Order: sequence, then structure tokens, then C-alpha cells
Amino acid sequence: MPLPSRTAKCPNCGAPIEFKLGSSAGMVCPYCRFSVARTGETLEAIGKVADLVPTAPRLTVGDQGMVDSRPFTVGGRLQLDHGSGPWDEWYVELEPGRWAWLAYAQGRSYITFPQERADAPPYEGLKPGAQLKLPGFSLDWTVTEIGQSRLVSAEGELPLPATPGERSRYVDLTGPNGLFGTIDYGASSADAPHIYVGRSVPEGGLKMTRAALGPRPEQSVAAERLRCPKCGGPITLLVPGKSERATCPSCRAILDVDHGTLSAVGRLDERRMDLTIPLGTEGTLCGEKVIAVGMVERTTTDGYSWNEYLLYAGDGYRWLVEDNRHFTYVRDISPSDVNVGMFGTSYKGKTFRRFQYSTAKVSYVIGELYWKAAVGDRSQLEDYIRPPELLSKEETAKELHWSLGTYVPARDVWKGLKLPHEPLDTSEVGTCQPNPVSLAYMGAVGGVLIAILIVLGIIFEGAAGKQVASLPLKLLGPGQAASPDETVVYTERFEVASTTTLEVALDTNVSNQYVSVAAALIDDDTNEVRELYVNAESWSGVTDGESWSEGDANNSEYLGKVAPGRYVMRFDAQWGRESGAMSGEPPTATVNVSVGERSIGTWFLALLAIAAPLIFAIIRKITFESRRWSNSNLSQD
Amino acid sequence: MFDLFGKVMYPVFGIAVLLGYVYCVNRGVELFEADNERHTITGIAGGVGGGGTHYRAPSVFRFGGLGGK
Repeated sequence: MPLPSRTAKCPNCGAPIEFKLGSSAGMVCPYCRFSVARTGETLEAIGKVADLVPTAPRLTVGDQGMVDSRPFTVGGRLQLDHGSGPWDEWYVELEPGRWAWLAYAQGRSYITFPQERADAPPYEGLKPGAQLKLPGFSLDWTVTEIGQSRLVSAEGELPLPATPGERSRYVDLTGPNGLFGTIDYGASSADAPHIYVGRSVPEGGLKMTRAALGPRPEQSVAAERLRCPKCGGPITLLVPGKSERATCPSCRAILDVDHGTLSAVGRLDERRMDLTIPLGTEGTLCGEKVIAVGMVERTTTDGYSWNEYLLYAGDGYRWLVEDNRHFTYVRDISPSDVNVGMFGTSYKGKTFRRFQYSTAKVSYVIGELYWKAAVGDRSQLEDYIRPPELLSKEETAKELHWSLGTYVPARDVWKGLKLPHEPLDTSEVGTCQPNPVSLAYMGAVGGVLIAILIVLGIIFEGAAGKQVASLPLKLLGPGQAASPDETVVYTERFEVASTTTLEVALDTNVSNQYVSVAAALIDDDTNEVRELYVNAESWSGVTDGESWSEGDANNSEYLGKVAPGRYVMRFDAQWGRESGAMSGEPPTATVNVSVGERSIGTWFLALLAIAAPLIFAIIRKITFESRRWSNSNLSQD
Repeated sequence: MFDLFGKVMYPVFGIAVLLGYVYCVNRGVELFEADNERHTITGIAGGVGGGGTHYRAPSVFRFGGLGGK
């Protein structure tokens, strides 16, 4: 139930303070910076809170805006430290008694609402990647981070009194479709957990409608003021206010960026990495304007390394992974949108194949990073591919991240970032490089062509030719013929209406015999003769205990481009057995002459011509995939 | 090069093959025709089936027969 607006005196300094929001139960006195608890009609001073750390916040107390078309008023701010720098959480009231936390991290805004029921699973049993249920929600939540926070400072009104220096254990969760949650377990198991559930606010979902009166907090660190604490060289921060790590270009000192001040925390090793993408390079990649702000080299335990460029895109960070001269544009996704199953890992309806896994450490860092990266940081990596996309899982003892990458051709990187020279070629296949062979396209085109060819074949080859002659052959052995012409037979005269093909089909009953026919097509008008031979033979027997057979008792030969005219065919047949001997009864043989008949070979040749590029494409696609998967360490298990 | 072939030339090539096949059918072209020899004779004396001719086809035995296994 909302509390009424109330003006009172600070129990510590007596200055007037006003609770404007009905859901506020605490406040930091703007005069003495004492945390004040509001309990009914009484106010209690809890303790002095430290000054706020300048963090270039987007909001300040008193701002008004719209989140998902709902108006809100900023009541106050908590500043927490999770061990990697301060973290602002804004207390906003959407309507009397209805409040939420609004936070901004890595380019995203998150809004979470307190839940009435707080029966949460035990903190001790949770680890990144674990799935759990929250009261009132049927869906599964995925643990993405486990850690501890410390209250650094606060300002304005708060839904709960701020206790300076208070520590708390927390678990961050993600759910499907951008749902986000946090369980605040308090300092010890004796504390009751508080559950906050909300979601990431999409780009454009958070708008300011009215700015608070008075001076605003420091918006950004004055970059020109920064100098390296080791060598005094100038340090220009590309993303002031968001970078946690920077490096000095002069002395290679690794610098901790702490709210406008720099401190050296290490030194880059001696090697100077020749960066493909110089830091500070601006351009457009995948439709987003980006600036390269940092680079991390990662190396697996077996010595394989690649570079990950950190890009700032205005509304958050992206990565451009350079691996063997191949590039992948990567952005974070919600782990809850990833479903790891027995038959593959899916994200938004797309199934990815597990490709590789490794343990990798940070082996080199340069530039600015949004977390306190250190050489030697280790994490477990797993990649799943669905070219041109890559799904990556990165896991440490405390955190779980999933990211989605999209393959970007090197020439697009060069063009988008206006890099000098030309990208270097590589013979290696990229992890998620799209296969250049599109079987879908080739298959569709080839399928249509083959279907047309089949239809044409049915029309042309299925159409019966016209038989113009059918006559038995005279088969006599040498010496049996009274004259050389005794074995000769002629067809009746026949006409060919248009240029066509002609088939001479020889049907015999040879068995361990052959029949050879010398045929002649005689043009009755021009006396032009075309001589050809048709043979049929059939052999069988037993050799070394194995029976065999070969040959065919029937055979056909074809003539092409038979011009229109009147024709006669002459046949002279002989037969024999092995070694030319003729004994026993001669076989019978019949010859059939048809016009308009052609061999099926022409059709098959056309089929082969159409299918050959398709077969070649299939071989090429398989070869490409073989080269890709030869880089996977799954096959080495 | 092959990608260009695949996307642009393959349909063109395939259509050319189909047209070539139709051409062969319609123009009586037989790609697998028997070996044949052309020449011109003076005529078949007495007509076909008249029991005699000036034209003599070569004997199959000039090839020495086929023989078996």
C-alpha cells in the first residue's frame, strides 16, 4: 500500500527532506548523506553513505520518462560494486506503490519488479547454466551469473533503507524472450531472499519525457585530462564512462579505469600485435555503426589462438571475431533462448550442430574493455554452427554467456571499416563460413531441367517408330550356298517422309553362336548406299567350375539423318560357332527395320549433361564441409 | 568460377542441352549411330527381288568372324 507523501526533518542533520514517492521506505539525505529509514511515522538515521562514484549515468533523480509506454519517475539510485566497478540501479515508480529497478548494462536497459513471493532455491546449490523455477512462473529460468555485491553509495529515495557497506549475494537469471530476473539472497542464509523479475527493454523502449531541474551528474570522463600514470602519455578513451580496462599506447601499461582516474595494473607483453583492425577504426558492420575499442587474443590449451575485437555500437557492445582470416560479427543473446537438446542446440527455432569445444585463456589484451579483463582469464567455450551463424557458449565458475555470431566476408569487413589494402586470402574454411555451393538452387534448377527432359523423353522416346520391314534372314554355312547371293535378302521398297533416324533390329536365338549381318540402306532415287553391320552373339559355359554367360541374342544398330526418299535395305547374314566353325542347325534370325526409332543414348547423354554439374556441385559441397569439419575437435574424440 | 556457372550458366547450359536434345530428335541426328560407310552405286539390275543385282554388300567374313570365348 503506498505511503502518503511526507515532508520531515532529517533525523541526523534536521534539514528538510521529502518523501515524494508512495513506495519509498528509505532516503539518503541530500544535505548530510545519511541513510534514513521510514517506518510508519518515524524516521531513523541508519548511517552515512559514501559519495557517489561518477559513472556517467543516463538518469538522475527527478527525471521522468516512459518505459514500454508506461510513465515513470526516477526516485533514487543505488550504487553497487560487484567486484568489477560500480553498478547503478535506479529506483523508479511507475504508479503509486508500483516500483521497479531500472539498470543499464552493456548497451541494454533492464527493468525488474519485486515479487511478493520469495521462496527461492538455496543459493549454495546454484551454478551458471542451472535451470530453476520461480514462484508464479511456469517457465524455466537459467542462471547466468552468481556473485556478491556491496552497497557503495546511494542517493534520493529508495524502496528499502540503504545500509552503507552492506553485502549481498545475488543470482542473475534469464528467461525466454528477454525475460530477466535477480534473486537477492542477502548477506547470509539467515536473510530472506528477494526476487525481482522483469526483462530487457528493447531499443527505443525507454524514453525520457522530462529532465529533473538542477545540475545533472557528470556525463562523461573528460578524455583529454587522462594521462598514463606510468609514463605520462596521453590516454584517449573511446568510450569514456563505460570502459573498465585500457592500455597505454606509449608504454603498454594495462590500466584500470576507475571513474576518471587511471591506475596501472599490469603491462602488455613485449610483442606488438599487428592488428588487422586498428583500434579507433569506425565504420558500419551488419548495418550498425561501430567503433573498434579493444582487442582480446584468446588461446586454447593446445595453442590455437584467435582475436576478438570489441566494438562499441552506441547502444551496446559487439564482437568481431577474427579466426584464420575469417570474420564473425557477434552479439550477446539470452541463455534462456537457447535450448540444448539431445539432437542439437536450438535458438529461436534454428538448430545448430555442435562443432567444437575448448578451454581458452586471455593471452593478450589491448585497448578498452567493458570488464576488468586480465591475461590468463580462463573460460570454457563451446561452438555450435549453422552457417552462416555461430552459437557460442562461454562459461566460467560464476558466469554463463551465450552469443550469436554471423559470418561476415572479409571484403565486407574491409569495405565497412574502410580498411586499407585488400584482405588476405585464406585456404582454410571458416567455422561458420557459408558453403559457396547452393544445392537448393542447383537442385531446383537441375530438378526442373531433368523433369522437362523426362517429359520430352516420354513424348519423343515413347512415341513408337514406324516399322517398314520385317523379314527372316537366310543363314547358310560356307559351301551350303549355291551362289554368293543366296544368303542375300531385300526389303520391300519403303518411304521416308522426313529426315529421321532408322533402326535395324536383329532378333536371333543364338546360343554359343553368332550372327553377323552386313546391311545396306539403298536410296532408290539417288543410289546412295549406307553400309553397316549388325551382330548378335551369345556365349555361355563353365570355366573352373563357374558358369558364365555373355553377349545378347538381340541387337540394334541405328542410322541418323536418313533423308526423305524411297529406300530398300539389303541384308547378307552369316553365322558361326566358336572359332568360326559352323556345325549343327543354324540359328534363326529376323531383322526389323523401323524409321523414327533412335537409341536411348541421346536422351541419356542429355541427362548426364544436366546431372553432371549437379553431381559436381554435390561433390564440391561435401568436400567443403569435410574441410570445415576437419577443423572440429569433435572428430578427434 | 563454378559459382557463377551454378547461378547463371547452369540454367542456360541446361536449357541448351534440352534444346539440343529436341534438335537431335527433330532433325534425325543419332549420336550413337552405327559405323557406316556411304557410297553411290549405279543401280540394282533387275530390281529388288529379281534374283540379281550389281550391288554386292561386303561379306561379314572379311572381318574374320566374331568368335566366342
